[in-house]
Amino acid sequence: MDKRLISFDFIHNIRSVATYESKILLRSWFFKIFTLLAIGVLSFFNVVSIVIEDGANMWILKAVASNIPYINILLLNTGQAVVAIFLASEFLKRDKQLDTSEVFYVRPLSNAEYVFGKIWGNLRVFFVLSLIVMAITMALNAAAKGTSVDWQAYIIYFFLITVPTLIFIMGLAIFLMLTLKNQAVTFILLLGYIGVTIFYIGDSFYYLFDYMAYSLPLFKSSIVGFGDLGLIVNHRAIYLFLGIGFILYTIGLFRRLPNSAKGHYPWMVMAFLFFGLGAACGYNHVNKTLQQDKHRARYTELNNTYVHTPKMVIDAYKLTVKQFPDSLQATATLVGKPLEAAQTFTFCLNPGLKVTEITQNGTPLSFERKDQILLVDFGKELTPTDSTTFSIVYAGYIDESLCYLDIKDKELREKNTNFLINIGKKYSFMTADYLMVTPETFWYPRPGTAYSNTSPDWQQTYFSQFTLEVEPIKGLKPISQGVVTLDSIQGKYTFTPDYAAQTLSLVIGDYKQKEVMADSVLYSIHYIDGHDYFSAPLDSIKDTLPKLIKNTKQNLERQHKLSYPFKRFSLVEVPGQFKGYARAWTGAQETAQPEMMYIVEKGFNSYSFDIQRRVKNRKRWGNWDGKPISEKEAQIKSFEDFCWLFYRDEGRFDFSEGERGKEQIKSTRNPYFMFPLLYNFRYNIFSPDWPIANRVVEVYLQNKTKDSGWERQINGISNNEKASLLMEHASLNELLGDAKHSELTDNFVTLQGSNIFAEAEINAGVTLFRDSLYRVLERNTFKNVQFEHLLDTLGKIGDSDINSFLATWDKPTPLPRYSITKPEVKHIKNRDGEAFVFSIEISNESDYPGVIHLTIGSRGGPPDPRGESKVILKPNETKRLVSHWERPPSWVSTNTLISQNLPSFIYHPMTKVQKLRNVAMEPEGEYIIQKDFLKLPEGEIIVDNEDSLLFSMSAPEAIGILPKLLDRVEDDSFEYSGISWWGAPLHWTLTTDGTYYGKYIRSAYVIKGGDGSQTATWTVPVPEPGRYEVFFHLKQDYELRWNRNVEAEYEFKVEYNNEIEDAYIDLRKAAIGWEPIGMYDIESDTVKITLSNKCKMRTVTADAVRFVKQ
Amino acid sequence: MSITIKGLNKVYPGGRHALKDVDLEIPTGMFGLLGPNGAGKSTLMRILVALMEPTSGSVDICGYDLMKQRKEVRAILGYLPQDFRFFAKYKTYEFLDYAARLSGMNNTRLRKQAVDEMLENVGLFDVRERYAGKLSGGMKRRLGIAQALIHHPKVIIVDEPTTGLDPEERIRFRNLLSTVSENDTTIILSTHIVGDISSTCNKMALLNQGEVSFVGSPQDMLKHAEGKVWRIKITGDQLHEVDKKYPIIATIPSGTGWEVQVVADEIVGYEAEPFPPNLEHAYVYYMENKLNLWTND
Repeated sequence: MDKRLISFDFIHNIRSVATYESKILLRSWFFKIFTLLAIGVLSFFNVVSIVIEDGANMWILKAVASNIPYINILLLNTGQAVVAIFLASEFLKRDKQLDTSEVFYVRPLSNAEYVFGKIWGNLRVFFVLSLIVMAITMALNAAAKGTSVDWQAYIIYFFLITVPTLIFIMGLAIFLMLTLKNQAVTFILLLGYIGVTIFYIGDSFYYLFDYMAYSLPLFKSSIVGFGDLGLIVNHRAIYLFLGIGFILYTIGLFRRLPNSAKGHYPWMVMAFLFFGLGAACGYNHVNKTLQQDKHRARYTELNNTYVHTPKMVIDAYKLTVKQFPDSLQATATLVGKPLEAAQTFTFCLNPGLKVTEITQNGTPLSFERKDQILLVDFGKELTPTDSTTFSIVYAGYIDESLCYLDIKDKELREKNTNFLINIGKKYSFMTADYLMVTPETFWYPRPGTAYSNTSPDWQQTYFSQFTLEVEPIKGLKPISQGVVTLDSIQGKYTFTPDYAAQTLSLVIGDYKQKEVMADSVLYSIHYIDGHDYFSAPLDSIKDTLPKLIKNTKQNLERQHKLSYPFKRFSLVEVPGQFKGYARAWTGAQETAQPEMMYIVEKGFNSYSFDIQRRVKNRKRWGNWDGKPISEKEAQIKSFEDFCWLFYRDEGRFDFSEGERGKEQIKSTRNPYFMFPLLYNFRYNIFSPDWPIANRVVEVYLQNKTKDSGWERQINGISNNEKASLLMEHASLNELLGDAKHSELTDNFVTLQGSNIFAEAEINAGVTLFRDSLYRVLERNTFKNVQFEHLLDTLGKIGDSDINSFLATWDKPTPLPRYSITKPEVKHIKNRDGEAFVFSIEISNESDYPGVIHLTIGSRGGPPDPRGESKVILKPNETKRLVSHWERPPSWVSTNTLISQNLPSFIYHPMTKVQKLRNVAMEPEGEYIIQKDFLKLPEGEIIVDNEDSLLFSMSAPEAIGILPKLLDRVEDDSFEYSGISWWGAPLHWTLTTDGTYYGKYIRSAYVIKGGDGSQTATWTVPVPEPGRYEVFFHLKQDYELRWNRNVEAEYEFKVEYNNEIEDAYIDLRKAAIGWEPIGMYDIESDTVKITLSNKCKMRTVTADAVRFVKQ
Repeated sequence: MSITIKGLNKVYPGGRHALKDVDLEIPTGMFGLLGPNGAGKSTLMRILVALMEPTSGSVDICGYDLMKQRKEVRAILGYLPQDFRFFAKYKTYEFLDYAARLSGMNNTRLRKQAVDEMLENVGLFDVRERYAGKLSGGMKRRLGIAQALIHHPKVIIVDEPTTGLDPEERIRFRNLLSTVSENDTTIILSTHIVGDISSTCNKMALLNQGEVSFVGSPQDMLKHAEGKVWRIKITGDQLHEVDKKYPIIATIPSGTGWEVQVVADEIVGYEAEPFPPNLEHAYVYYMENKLNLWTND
């Protein structure tokens, strides 16, 4: 290496090489076209998405201005990374034209100067292009209305995204070019690398391979900035260091004699030093995630250890909190009563918060701290009648690893993205000018433990009276539950909730408030100073707002039959990274707190919050419909649209595709669903034996036993059905404690809940029984109600010993199975009058009792409360149900709840009504009848795909190693899957649907239409020789509707009498249900029907065959 | 001495011995390196300009050890390679400016001045804005020598510079080099065109099969051939016969037959008269008679 490494000459030479390298790049057509495209495409994107108000108008970009440079730089960066590969390897190729380069090689510049110059020459052109794009973007950003310019973000994203990516990819490209000595191979490798990282690896391996920063949470909040700047910088440093390492290594490898004899060694050493640094950052990155997992596992383990240790019920909390930058200091004074006699009691407090002192009446108490667990020794045994007051002094920060221990690591690590914007996830904030702590963080000591995966006991909460005194950093304003008073001399705020609450949350920031009183409730919006984007677009309805809000409130109350219990309701703006999860054991997410909802900054992730655009759209739609509306009407409608956000149970739906063709869908619960504020924060049903008691009642009221039809269709099996099948093998307690099935907790609870109330519902009537439950609850607002007492009360109403059913929760539930006949409707007119007589027969063909939920509906008119009914069926009992109706029932749905039946929910449309005159009407009622549903008529045989002896399929093809390695093959323990119709499965895949054939399980195998290499075979034993008509069971294939030209034919081979005959079904002409294949004179004792996947349709379905003797 | 080469050897990885114990003393002025194709000239040139490492031996250039002080050596070197093409994307003046910058001419104003002067000197000023790839063959050569001279090097190494040039361009080129060599500069001119050396060099070496087989002035070389060059008048039928016996240097048709020039110690059986030798004759004589390498096949 040269003695004067960083000398004037060094810089001069690098600049000289760079200047001329840049000239070449700038003069290449390839780059010119790329530049034009990049500037053109991104400018167009910006104009459409942020400048033109009638364009795409992307709220996510406008609401959080930093997203504008984020998305632009991210997209440009991808293009540049690809182009850089071409150019980086191109310059080395050019250098291979030796004689030309030699006139430069013989100059006194060093190899390092030359390589650095070359790289810098290319880099700076890209950097300048980035700066130009950024300048144009910034100009368009400034010209856009309704958004601001976050100029800092432009600079930061440039350094976080562009610089490391380009240095890395150029370094890697020239390194590969020098080692492989082949431009084509280098291209293929690098383009492959880009493709694999973007499309295949994605965020796997903790997004370690994400050199283009697609998976990195780079969202910059306008309130707190980046979620985890340390993680981001460390991740980018991996690629920056590796890139520099490659460049240095290239200097060492460069095929030109160095200026001094051993000149390349120092560069090699430095290269390895940088590789080491890159590797260290990579290790640090992975380790950080692994450590988090480790911490989470340790915390859960600790909770498991202490979940059954003595706990207290806290009647009152007095919390005094002082905010510091990056930390808080607090004193919690608790008034508690033991749940059982003991000397030492368990509490849980965030492990980042260190306890310094615990006192009781001024006397220090001894205590032990193990991470989040706080064991307080009261020095003597306390009994449940002893009320004790003690204070805990603590200070520190929030360790987010304690949050959401119940959520699986995979889900926790899932990207939180919205249109390429990777938002990241934070559960708590502590910065110099912002603080946010929710109950999930355990920011104050709470009795018991956090999540345990061995016992559900930890879930139990109780109502307490809270008082919170907050001393924020000067200039900031705290927001919490209750009436707030300000001691302006001391700068302290006191919050006193005028109700008992289970938990308390606190945010502190530079908040401003807008408020309006409506229907005796104070409605507020707490927004960060400068974020009032909503007042102006709603200025015409200022005076109407109270009425609109009142309407919304009353609608919600009507919808849920529950009243809003608080005197205040606030929308509180919080940083964008704030993330809550839907829990299996409660409908409440952390976004919902008593009397408030946390809305991420400006509601950037939902168009519902883009008020201005909504008002414009409303006006535009009015004009389109020929019914122009005024500004005021538009604002009213927009406000109502916005309020709709609080009505919906389900938010967005997430599709995921595992193994090809197998579709999964998960509906995400709407974090702004109002129900928790009406129910969860108001009622607390507790049980020492059943910690899920509150949830049992909650889901029962929401009537969650019905599965969403299309969601089920996509998944192939519903969660209720999965839960039902699992309950056969384990008790409710075992299932609730099994982390493997945590996502089904809600379904276990739902089904078992519906089971215990069934008898009472039948006795009192479903609707009446529910109404009674609402009334009982209303009387117990903000009170801890014991589950068993509640069940006693409800049992009296429904004349049923509901408590006795709880015993069934301790055992696995044997599953009954049912056969259900086609329902019938007869329109009968006779001397006594006129009625629509509905009848259906249901048979329990198992040795276990069961309950079926029946819903009868008709078109038009209000729903008849008699429409909902439940039927209990004893083992091997068959019932005929008859009911009379004034309007013709047009459909009936049967829900077999806990049973072997798949699908459990079947919709039966009733289009045919038999008209009869002067015949007697069968009286209404439930009749026990004798009927063998299973017996087929003489000479009829059906073989279904569920028959493992008589139905078989061809062997599947092998799965590649890479999908296995990348965990793309989903291990689903349930054999039924959803079918993706746009990427049909390559293997025979078992799915269920109400329209398939099946005794209890209506299922079929589905495969992609192909070349005929895959087959399904029904081997049918023929009872006696003779002439048979053979049928195939068909379900409607929706492809026939939209793909009108496709040849729709199934190909069969019928093997009988030692011969094979071809047979076909033209699906376009075929009927739904049993479609004849043909008539056969059969002498052999078996017939083989083989269906091949040779078909032009997207899918081929193998269900059942039926033989009918003629 | 400007350049001292001692015991220089180069063995390529394949085992080919390209240079064998080369010892040379190269003084200031024009030095011609003559030799047939594959003699090792280019290898020697590439070693001298620090593009290649010798297997053994030492080279001292103007007091700098080439093996240890490459930077210093490179600072005083100008080099024009044999097959010289251009990056098509550079303009004529840019190419020269780039070369000047890399040679340490940091002052922008002075460099611009030097570039313009050099363009004037090599007659390329009028095409300074033209892309280098679009220059004619001769212009490219001139640009090539211009880039080698731009930083006023003490040693200039030119490898086969006149190959492919028309006679006028070739003369212009030689004159240019001669002018430069007057400024206390060492110019090593490697060539297989004897005329290049005879008209410009005051010292030369003959390289053959990696070994130096002659060192001296062109006049010394000529002495070897004095009285050994003959003019023979022959008929057309005899041409083939003479060609087999003697190395023919020139064949000129004359009326009824041919007038051929050959080199040989003596001529037997033909009507021959002595002919004053030039360097080309001397080179052929030397190769034929001293080294027994000549072949007309």
